[in-house]
Amino acid sequence: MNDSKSPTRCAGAPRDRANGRRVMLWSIGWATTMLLASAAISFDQFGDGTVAFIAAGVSLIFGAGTVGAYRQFLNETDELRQKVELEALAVAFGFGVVGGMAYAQISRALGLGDPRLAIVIAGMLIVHAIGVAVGMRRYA
Amino acid sequence: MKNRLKVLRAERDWTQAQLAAELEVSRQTVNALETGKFDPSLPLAFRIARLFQMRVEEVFQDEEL
Repeated sequence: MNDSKSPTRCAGAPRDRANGRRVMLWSIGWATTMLLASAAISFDQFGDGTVAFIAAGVSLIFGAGTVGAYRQFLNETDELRQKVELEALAVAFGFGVVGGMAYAQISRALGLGDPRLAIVIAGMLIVHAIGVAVGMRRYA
Repeated sequence: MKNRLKVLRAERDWTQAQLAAELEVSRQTVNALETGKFDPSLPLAFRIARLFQMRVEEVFQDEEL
């Protein structure tokens, strides 16, 4: 190994940071456009729905961009990180399906009204973040 | 799966960060490989063997054998 090759030659970390930043920017864009779309739907409820339709479409584009950016992050990241992400995604998916169904049944049983999808999605995101943190710690 | 990564790295006086840079993985991955917490993919195993100019089976051994 040539000593002149410093650890900065490692393509993993800077590439991961750049890809991670891209995921974050797309996510912020998606969250922002989703809030704007929700507001547009509320304000446009007596209109013909054109504004709400366009706002929802823009949000969908940002959502697709977020998924694409995350997919790129997963494909280009280090293989240990891929394993950590896969395990975290599995737990988050399980939480979404099992927890979401339980939440829906409890909501109906207790007469709390329709379950809110946003709560399930927020829960999945939190579980995924915890799963990544636990995985990174486990392999540290 | 057992491996001789830590010994081979120490023989060459390389740090985990230097080895990680050569293999284009994170230092955490090198550490996880050395401690046996993580088994590499076949392409990474071959990259490791190539770096140490050895055969894969000289670096990695199946524990069940």
